[in-house]
Amino acid sequence: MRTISISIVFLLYLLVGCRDVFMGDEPSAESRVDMFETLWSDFDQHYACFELRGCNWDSLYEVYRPQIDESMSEDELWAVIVEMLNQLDDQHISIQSIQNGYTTRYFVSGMEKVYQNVWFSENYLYQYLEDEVVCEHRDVFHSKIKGKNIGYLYVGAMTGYDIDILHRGLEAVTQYENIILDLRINYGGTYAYVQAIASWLSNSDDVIWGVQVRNGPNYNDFGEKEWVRNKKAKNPYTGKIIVLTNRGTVSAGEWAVESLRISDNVTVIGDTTAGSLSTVSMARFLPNGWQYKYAVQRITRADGTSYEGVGLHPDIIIKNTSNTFANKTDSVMVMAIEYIEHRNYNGNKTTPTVVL
Amino acid sequence: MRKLITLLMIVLLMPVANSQSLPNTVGVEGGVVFGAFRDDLYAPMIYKKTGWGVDLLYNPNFNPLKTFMQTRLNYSMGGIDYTPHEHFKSKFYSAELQFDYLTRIFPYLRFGEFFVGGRAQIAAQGIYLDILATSYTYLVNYSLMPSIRYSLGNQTHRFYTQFSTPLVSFVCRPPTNGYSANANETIPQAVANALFVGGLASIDKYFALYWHTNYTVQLSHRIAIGINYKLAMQRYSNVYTYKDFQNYISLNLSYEL
Repeated sequence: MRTISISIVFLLYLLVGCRDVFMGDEPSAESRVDMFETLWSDFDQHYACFELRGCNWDSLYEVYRPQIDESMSEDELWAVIVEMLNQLDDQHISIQSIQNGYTTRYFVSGMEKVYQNVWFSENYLYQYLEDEVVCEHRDVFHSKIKGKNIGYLYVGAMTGYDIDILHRGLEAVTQYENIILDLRINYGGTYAYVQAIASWLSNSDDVIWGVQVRNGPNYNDFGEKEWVRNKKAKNPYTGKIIVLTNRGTVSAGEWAVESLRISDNVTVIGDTTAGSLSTVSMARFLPNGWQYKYAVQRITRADGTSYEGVGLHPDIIIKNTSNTFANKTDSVMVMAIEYIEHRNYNGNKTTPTVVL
Repeated sequence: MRKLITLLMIVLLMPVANSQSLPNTVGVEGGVVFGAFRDDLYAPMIYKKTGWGVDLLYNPNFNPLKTFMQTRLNYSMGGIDYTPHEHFKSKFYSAELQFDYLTRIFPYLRFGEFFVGGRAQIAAQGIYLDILATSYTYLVNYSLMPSIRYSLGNQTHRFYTQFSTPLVSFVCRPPTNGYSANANETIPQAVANALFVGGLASIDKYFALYWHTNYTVQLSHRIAIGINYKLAMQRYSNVYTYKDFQNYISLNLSYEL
């Protein structure tokens, strides 16, 4: 019995040491270098869009790693890291720092460029709408174009509100002969909201995307392609549908554009979308309290073309500028109304840019 | 997969149902859990784990001189904590159902008895970080594992130690975007996937080692008490690595029916 007792004590002693070996090393919460290396390596191992976005991640390491040293402040570390992440120009990359439960810094890659190039204001929009605007949530409102038989629905997000609000908006606008669906500055959300829109407006159940998840250390390691099929309306809407887009139409907003434009009665007017089509990772954490997310999928069309980093091209390109805003007009809305009333567009609807 | 698991459980529990010829034993066990946890799916840090666990035991005395059988249902929960930051605190939950069946070898040894056999185990464990992010992690595994057990003692004092390690497991993990790998599922589908969409993993992908040591004192003809130490080490490597190192010290009370 004594031998057994000694053996057990010895084994327990071994296990305490064994725990550290088994669990491995962890980055230090105090080390700036560890923060940078952990984040860089995590992107290197798991971010899905390096190749699609033509990014040389190793060369970014060569540029930014020498700027990190242990004596730098947390603000300085933050500045270097966000500058590096901004090079990826992907709205699915975000990072925030949190202290005492509050977000103290927040950054989304590529958003600065979006803000610089997007001219959109609800203030100049309302002049085209009837006075009665139904707004159940700040991201969804609907009305009717003044004096025309055209319904207008603005959708600014694909999450964050009850999906029935979206259904009610769609039900209201489908009472009119034609529809303008405004997806400008739509920051995305979940696929369920895309399906909700398609289930009212789309007349096609074609495959819209092939989805692959990155599953290995190499930048082109991906799992099998899963096909996503569009949800077709039971009684498809037969009037003209104009979808308005701009560089602020992101992610699930872009999915909505694609799910609609495969129908032959849909015309997309505006500017190219953001080109951030993947879904994002779960929140990921660094030991100093920062958390971040990144894209984990490669999304392509059925024919293999990708819009990641490129965006979906509209059928008719028109952008608001500082001049149109100076005149207090929304030239995209004007074009949409004119198109419904007078024009017939027969252009090529898709312009593939990257073939995988 | 669900049918396979149901069938597996029926086959495993059949001997229990047929073992009414000799008295059986039921028991309850409770104690403290502590250890460490790391899941690269959401963080590279090593979290401390502290909590408590409770077990229900059933030992059918099918043929106590030649075999050892036990069914164990465990539930444990507690907190995970990464000291440098307050907001990294969260909770963990785990549940296990395991069935051991071992048969005695070398029956005439002077210094104790050796048993070999196997364990079937269904285990699920997860955490949910619900304050600042909808981030969670889980590992569900269905394993068949060989076991070796060494026992010695007399009618009043008994001791055993047992090692088990899975050879083949079916392991489920969350998709890397947390909800739906292809962004095309409903929530019920995603929940079902949490339990049943996974892959077979051999020892190179899923390594685990379970060590259980028990010392029991027979208080009366029917009642016994004991103290247990259990170690569970798990490592699952796929796109992200999951590691769990858990100690469990517990007291048990058993009653012969």
